[in-house]
Amino acid sequence: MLLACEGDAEGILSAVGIGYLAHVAPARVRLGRAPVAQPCLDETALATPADVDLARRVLAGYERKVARGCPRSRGGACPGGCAESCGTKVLLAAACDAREAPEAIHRYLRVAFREGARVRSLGAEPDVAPFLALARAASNECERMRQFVRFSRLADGSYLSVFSPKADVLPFVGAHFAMRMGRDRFCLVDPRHGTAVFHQGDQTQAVRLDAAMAEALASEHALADDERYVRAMWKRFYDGLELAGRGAEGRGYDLRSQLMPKRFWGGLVELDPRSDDAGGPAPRRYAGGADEAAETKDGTASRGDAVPSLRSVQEEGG
Amino acid sequence: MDTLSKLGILAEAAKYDAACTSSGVNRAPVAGRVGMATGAGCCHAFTADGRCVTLLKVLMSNACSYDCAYCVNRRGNSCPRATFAPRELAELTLDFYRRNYVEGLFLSSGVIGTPDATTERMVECLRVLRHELLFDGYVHAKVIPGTSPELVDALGRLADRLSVNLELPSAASLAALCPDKDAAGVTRPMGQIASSIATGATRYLEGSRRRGGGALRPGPGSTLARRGGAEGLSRAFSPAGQATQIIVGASPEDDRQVLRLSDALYRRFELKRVFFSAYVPVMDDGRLPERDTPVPLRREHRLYQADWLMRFYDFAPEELVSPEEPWLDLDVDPKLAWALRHIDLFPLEVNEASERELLRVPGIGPVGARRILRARRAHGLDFDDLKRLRVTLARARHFVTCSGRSEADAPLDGELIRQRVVEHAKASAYNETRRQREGAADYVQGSFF
Ligand code: SF4
Ligand code: SF4
Repeated sequence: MLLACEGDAEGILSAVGIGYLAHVAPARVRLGRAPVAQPCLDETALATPADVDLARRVLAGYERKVARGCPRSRGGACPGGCAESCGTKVLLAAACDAREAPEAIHRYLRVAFREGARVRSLGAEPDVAPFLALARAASNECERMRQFVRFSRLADGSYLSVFSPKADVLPFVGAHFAMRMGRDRFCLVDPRHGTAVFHQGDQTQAVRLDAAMAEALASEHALADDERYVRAMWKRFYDGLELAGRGAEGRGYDLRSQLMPKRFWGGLVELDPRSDDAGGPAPRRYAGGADEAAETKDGTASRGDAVPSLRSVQEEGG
Repeated sequence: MDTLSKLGILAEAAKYDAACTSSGVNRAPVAGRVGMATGAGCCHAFTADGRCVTLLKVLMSNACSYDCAYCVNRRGNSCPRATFAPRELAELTLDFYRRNYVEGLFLSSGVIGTPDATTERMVECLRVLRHELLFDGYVHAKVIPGTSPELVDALGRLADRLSVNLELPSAASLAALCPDKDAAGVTRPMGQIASSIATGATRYLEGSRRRGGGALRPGPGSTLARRGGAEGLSRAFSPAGQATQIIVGASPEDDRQVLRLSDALYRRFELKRVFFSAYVPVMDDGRLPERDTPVPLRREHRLYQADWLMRFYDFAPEELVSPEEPWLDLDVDPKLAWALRHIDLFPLEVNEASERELLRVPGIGPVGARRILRARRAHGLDFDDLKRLRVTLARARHFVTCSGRSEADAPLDGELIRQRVVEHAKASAYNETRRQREGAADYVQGSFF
């Protein structure tokens, strides 16, 4: 039997729950992503709508089951000390775009419900390894986002970034950027999966977008006056780091493209030739002048400028 | 001069510095401030040659009064000079941080007149950054040898990590190539930093005993992390520890000297990292190797691999290099070289070996070893299981058995293993290209003196 589910976590976990409640032998059930999954000749197909309550129950039941007897959990509850909790791994795997994700998660959950905490030592099993690979792939995609998101400052003082990861992981990294940005207002948009994170004050929210909204957010916005100058500085800095003879030609292969995959290059300010254009004169804080006195004619700097003494620093610092 | 022009000069001048990591400290965000620090660090970009860019690594000034033979910023060299104003650099750091370009600032400088004058300027930059712009991201600051202790202290209370560059692997080479520096000027601040960090840790432990226990590591929400906030000089001293850099290939010391030195530095000053920088011949000077004898990048790479083995795999320097063989093997990595010298210890039975033994198998790292230990609790493992566990088998398969069985085409034959590894490496585009560029079948150590 093919259970054709929606491809997100709620859809996949609901389908797992329906299969379980229907008491169909696990070997006779297969999950597929609607609408692309097609039944085989001897299969019947059943569309399973997402049911948030059922999905929550499946996830909570799974978490209880694997925590019982887990040496890291305390009193059957996860202490939260795991870098990626077992529950998070399921959600990460469900965030993958891969066509086989629903079935890999289904097979893994069946093993986990059967084996409990022991599932953690079954990483080499054919029903577990593909699931772990998916969770790892999504986790890597989260790291790519933390690395390669680039924010632009808009005319209204907020920050915006448009980023298209290979998995629907934006909700996993929203908190990271909220912690970095403090009280700065920002919006992070993933047009590919139609999700966005909005942050203002101490509120951060991940939302699903309809196509029109996603397009509107991802389109051109008026930039802050100093944005082009800051971009130009970043590109100048980046270009200045190059060591002659060690690039792709000197090395024989393109190490940079392995570490910084080409699919992200379009959004990377430092690799965009347009960033060379500073867009006008320097903003006041970067125009120079205040400290020019520090440079003497022969290029060495004197110490008689506006640097306060250590004593004043200590007094101020307490 | 505007900041854009200065950046071109001052980033260029800092690019030879190897360290660019933001790891080692966790600092949770504090309301009203900007930024945080995560222990794992984050690479935000990679240069064309694959070096990670995680911090805004610049010099405060390249107008240096010193005359180190190998350095483009030496006073005798004619090149464009620039100096940042402290506030200008602080603002720049924050602008880059907010756009997710960097994790923070790596602040270094040429010597502007004297070490103290330079450090005062660096302290002022960090004071503006921490106290006026309320920045809680990562800061690494370089201590200039000869800086007075009060200024080292002020810098250490504003930065997350300090480093004093050793520069050259012996006092004799330092005297020969850096006439304005001496070994004591380098080791004195290293000692001060080590003891300030230790004092801070002791105080913290005493405090936590009174409070009823707590983690020494400054994790989110811990006292150390909270103290890292707005309290200025009372924040933890250099909570991510200290590091240093050694230039290899500008002077004649062999790998054994370099590794023994770095081992001693880890022990004596409790360094977090020793960075190695393959000397890039940019200056003509009779005291330096010829400009057309570049130090093989692979030497730097092998030193990092050896350093890694010493820090995380429990290898001692004497296991990797000896008086008879003082250079690391450039053809094979140090772990494989060790295993080939100790081939009688293999093959190892995967289902019985201890974690320490597994870690000594070429190709098996801490993650692979942990996966093996966990998975074999369920049942005995075979080679297919190892593949599914994503253990890198290309090398390991020669050195292990699964339930007493070896892989058919992977005999434990030292000569054959070396030949296969070397041939595989030779065939790689990287080595082919470097060989052509460096113009020799075998790499030559920098000829010196
Ligand atoms: S390993 Fe899984 S079950 Fe155990 S404590 Fe961590 S999250 Fe909970
Ligand atoms: S002190 Fe020496 S190494 Fe440092 S910038 Fe000056 S000349 Fe260069």
